[in-house]
Amino acid sequence: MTEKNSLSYLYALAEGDMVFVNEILDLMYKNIPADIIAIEEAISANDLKQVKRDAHHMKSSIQYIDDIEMSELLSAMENKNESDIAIVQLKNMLPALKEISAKLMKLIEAEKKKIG
Amino acid sequence: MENATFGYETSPMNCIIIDDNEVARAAVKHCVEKTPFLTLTGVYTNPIEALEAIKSEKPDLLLLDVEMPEMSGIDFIKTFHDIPQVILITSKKEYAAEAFDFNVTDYILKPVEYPRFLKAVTKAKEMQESLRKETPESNELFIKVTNKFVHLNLNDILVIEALADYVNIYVDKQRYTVLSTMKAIEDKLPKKDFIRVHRSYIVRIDKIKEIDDQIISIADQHIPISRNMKDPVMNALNKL
Repeated sequence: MTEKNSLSYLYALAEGDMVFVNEILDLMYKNIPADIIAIEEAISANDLKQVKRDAHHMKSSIQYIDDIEMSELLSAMENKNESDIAIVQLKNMLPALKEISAKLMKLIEAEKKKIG
Repeated sequence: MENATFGYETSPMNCIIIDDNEVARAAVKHCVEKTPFLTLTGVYTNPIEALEAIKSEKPDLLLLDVEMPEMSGIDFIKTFHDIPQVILITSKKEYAAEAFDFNVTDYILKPVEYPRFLKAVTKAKEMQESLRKETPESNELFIKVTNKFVHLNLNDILVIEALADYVNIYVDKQRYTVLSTMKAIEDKLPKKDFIRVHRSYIVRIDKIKEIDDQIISIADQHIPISRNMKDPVMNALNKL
C-alpha cells in the first residue's frame, strides 16, 4: 500500500482491484508530461483561456493523487483572471508546476514498482 | 449487495459516460462496473459525439462531466426536450445551484468516491422505478366537457393551447376547452410523443408538418416556438 495522503483516494476506489490501480497510474504517468507541455505551449502563445482549460484538464488527470500543493497551483492557474500580468504570473508558476510534477512522476514510478 | 430487494436484476439501468478526461472516464467506468444494476452502453469524450447515441439508444442515465472544451455539461442538458436522468460529475461546487435548475438527479464532486457514487445512482434507480409507475401507459385521455366525459385518443391530438385557467385541445377539426393547467395536462402525456414548444403550446411531435424558423405548422395552425425551446424541439425530431 502507499503512504497516507498520496494515493489513498485511488486505493479506496479500487477496493483491491489492482488492474484498475495500474490503469489509473499508467494514465496519470502518460498524461502529466503531456499536460505540462500543453500548459507551457499555451503560456508561450499568451493564450490565457487555453492555459485555464489545460490546467483544468491536468487537475482532472491527477485527481487521484492527493497532493495539496499541486492542486492549489493548478487551481490558481485555472482561476487566473485576465490582466496585463496574468501570463507573466503564469510563467512564474511553471517551474513549481514542473518540480511538483517530477515529484508525482517519481511517486507513480515507485508505486508501480511496488505493485510489480 | 442489497440489489435483489429493489428487483434490479429484472430492470437494469443503461447508462453512458461523457467526460473529456480519460482518468475521469476510467474512474467513473470502474464505479459503473462495480454497480450491479448499471449497464454501461457507451463512453464518450464529448457531448456532440454522445448526442446520436442518446437519441438512438435512449440510455436511462447520463454520467456527465460539466467542464468540457466543446460544450459544457449544463449547456448540453439545455438542448434536450426529453433528457434521460443526469448525474453531473465535476471538480467545482459552484455549478451545483445552476445544475439543479435543470432537474439533474444528483451532483458528484471529483475525485469520485464509490459510496457517494452509489448513493447518487441508487437515487436515479429509485426515480426510474417511480417514474415507470407514474408514466401513463394508456393511449387514451378522458376529458370533462360540460357535464360529460369525452374520450380522446392521444394519437389524434394535434395541439394543446393555454387559455388562462383552461386549455384548448385541438383534435382534427374539433376543439375542446377543458378546465386544466398546462402542467397538469403535460403530466398526462407521454414525453416521447408531445413537446412543450412555448409557454402556451404543447404539440404532438408526429403531427408537425413543417418548421420554419420559429413557427411550427400543424394542420392549418401556426404555432410559435419560444427561443429557448428551439434546440430541444429540433433535437426531438428524427432529422435527416
